[in-house]
Amino acid sequence: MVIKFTINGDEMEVDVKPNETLLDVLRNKLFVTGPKEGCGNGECGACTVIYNGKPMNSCLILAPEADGAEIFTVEGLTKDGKLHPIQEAFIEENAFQCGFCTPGFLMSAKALLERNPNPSKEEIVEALSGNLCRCTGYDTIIKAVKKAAEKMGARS
Amino acid sequence: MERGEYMIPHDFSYFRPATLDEALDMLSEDGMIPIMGSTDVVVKLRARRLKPKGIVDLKAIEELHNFSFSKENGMVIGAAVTMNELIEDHPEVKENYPVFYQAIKKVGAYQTRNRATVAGNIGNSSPAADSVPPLLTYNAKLKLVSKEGEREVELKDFFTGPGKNILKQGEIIHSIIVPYEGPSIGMYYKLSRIKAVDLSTIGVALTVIDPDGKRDIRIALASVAPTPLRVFEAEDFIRGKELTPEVVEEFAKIVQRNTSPITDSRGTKEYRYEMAYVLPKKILRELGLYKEVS
Repeated sequence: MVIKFTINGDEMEVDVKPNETLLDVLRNKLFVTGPKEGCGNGECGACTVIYNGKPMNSCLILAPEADGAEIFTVEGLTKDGKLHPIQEAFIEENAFQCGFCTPGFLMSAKALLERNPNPSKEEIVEALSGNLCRCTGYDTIIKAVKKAAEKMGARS
Repeated sequence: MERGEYMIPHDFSYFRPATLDEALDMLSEDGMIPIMGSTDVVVKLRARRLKPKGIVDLKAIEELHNFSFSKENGMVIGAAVTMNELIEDHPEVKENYPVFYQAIKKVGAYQTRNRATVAGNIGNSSPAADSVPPLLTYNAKLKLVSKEGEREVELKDFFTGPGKNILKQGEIIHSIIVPYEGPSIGMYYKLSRIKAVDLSTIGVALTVIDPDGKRDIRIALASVAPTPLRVFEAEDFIRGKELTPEVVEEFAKIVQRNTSPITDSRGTKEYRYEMAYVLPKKILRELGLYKEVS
């Protein structure tokens, strides 16, 4: 069946099967490989995308469910070759090592800062609790989100 | 995985009807299952534990997105209302059903709660369902609908075993009705291996209705029996009594005696059995309702 959605503002039409997940379609059909498959069960958050404004696990969404959705991935963060403040903050705070979890963290962080531009440490931890990192640890990630909030506040 | 392979190994058809009547028609056929947030269903599809002929996505049905609250009629949660909508968009939930609010905040992670629904949590019928023990303490009911008509059942009569319930083929949970019996305090205490994105090793909901008046104490547990469990015997015992250490001790022992836990990857039956005794006391203590003698 053919579904339509937007990815990072671009309209797409793609032929999908009901037993494909949104993550399958993004990675294997549209070659949008920012979202990663970690566990495939909604436990690790590596596949997190912003779906109609809210962070969700794309591995738990059946492709046809996404008909009509607005989807945002890490690929949409960089504008004209310029990194997003959240990305800058992650680099400055050394908030990743292997980077496999990073696109998911960036999506959860972006959605958090949109609904709450000045989150407390507890609110950051809660918003990121569905994203697992197995090498950096979480301190630098939490610092990066805090720093991103400051950068974004200063720019607006 | 090679490109072009599918995470979900078998084929099925997908429908997204716009009206309840169409959906109930489709679901009356053998092999059709309903989905809401699909957070449990996709996991089961991948694990080959579910092999439906077709999936009926109920999210486009407007009336299932309804939410209402009044002191006269209580809270009515449409089957499509997500847990995060209850947490973020409806302050009545936190205000009037604090134990339920605490429990749904402990389901999965933020991403999961943007998809997951309470109706789905109930329909999945896991003994570990976090939303269920508090709803049991608040005397929740379910409105079930099918092509044949509708019926209202008590939540406590809904579950028949792990993953099993009284729903007939073609019947769905339309809404959850939670009476308002007055102000309440309480706690949902969840023990799990990690704080987020884990199933409960044990979950205990203790609700005190009208804490400054008749002080009606209710208790229900997850992950200690084949179904979520409300312990009426313990409630009957403690009703109207002063909360002395002896009374609380006996209350906790009655709760424990009513459980029948098993050992699985999340914990042993011995640990769960012990916690079914420890946690009721701990919650009453943390709520400031009694002090242990020093």
